[in-house]
Amino acid sequence: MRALIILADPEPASIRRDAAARAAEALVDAGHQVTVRDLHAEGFRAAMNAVEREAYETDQPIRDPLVEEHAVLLGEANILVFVYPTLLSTLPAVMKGWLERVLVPGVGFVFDHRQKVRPGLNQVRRIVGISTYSERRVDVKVTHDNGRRTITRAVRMSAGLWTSATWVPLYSADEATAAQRSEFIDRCARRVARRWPPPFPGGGR
Amino acid sequence: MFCHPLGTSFTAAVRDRCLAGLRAGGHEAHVVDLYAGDDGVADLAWCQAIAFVYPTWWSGQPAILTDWLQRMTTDRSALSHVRRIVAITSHGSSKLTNAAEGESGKHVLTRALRLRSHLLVRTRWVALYGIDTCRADRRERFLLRVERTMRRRRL
Repeated sequence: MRALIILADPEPASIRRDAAARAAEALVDAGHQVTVRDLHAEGFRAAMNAVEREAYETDQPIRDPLVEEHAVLLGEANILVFVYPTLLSTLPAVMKGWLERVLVPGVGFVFDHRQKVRPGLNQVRRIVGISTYSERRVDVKVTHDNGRRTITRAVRMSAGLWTSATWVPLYSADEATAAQRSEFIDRCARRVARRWPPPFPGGGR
Repeated sequence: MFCHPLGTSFTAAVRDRCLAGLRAGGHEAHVVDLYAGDDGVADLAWCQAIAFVYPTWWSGQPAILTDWLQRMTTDRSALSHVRRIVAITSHGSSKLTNAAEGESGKHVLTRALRLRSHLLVRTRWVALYGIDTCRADRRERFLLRVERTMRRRRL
């Protein structure tokens, strides 16, 4: 299967980057094709602009070649991996902007004849979210863990009925010991490349 | 806090009715338009109440507003004087769909942001669901509701 790893991390060296690298290795070892995209390094613009908002209602909602590139990669991906630090209990702005600008009508979802939203990511079999929190687990639960819900519910609902959503968190990341950090990185590698759910019959799509 | 790239949008109409309501209720209001490039730092220090007017995209605030919130809350006490948080938003899909998706945007404002605001802060959620499929009279009723809510002496 093809795996797309989307990384949103403002820091040039961090545990998220190590986790993304280990996840990519584990996916390659499991026989998948892996693409890693680093939103900060690419200078991905977070905010949808007026031109794109107007185009959203038309047949060609994508007006940026970089967004087009991401949309093509997304259309081919069977495994989607999101790696980011949770800020204010939600996704970093650039990751949220990625959802808004790439998962447009015709890519992330389609409108049916009654203007109802229908899934567009039917080829995606597995969604994995990898995130670090500066808060403790209990504080994350109190604030409803909104980034996790966006990935494992809102994005998950745009995929097929049998798509699995996996969440790999590291709570209190700033105070984590070396042992906890390496356990987290191993957990990312293990959970991202597990066998279930199996690929579609016949492989590939 | 107004956040929409188009001045002709329904969200812009909501902002105008929100302002009309605030003025009718005797409140002073500043508008911070994120898409116009306003930074809102001075306005944040000046205000006692914040109304967020935005469309809900992918079950949360648009990225430009998420970015603003995340930048403002790096200083944990930047919002500690805020006594009222009002969220006014519209959703493309139904209440049921949004409930299944977890209403992330709602909880960012009413839980995560509330924890960084004044101890006695009150939050209010004013939302229109199913705007993709709803009739024009529901939009009009929502605008009236926004104006009525913002006209209250205690927001």
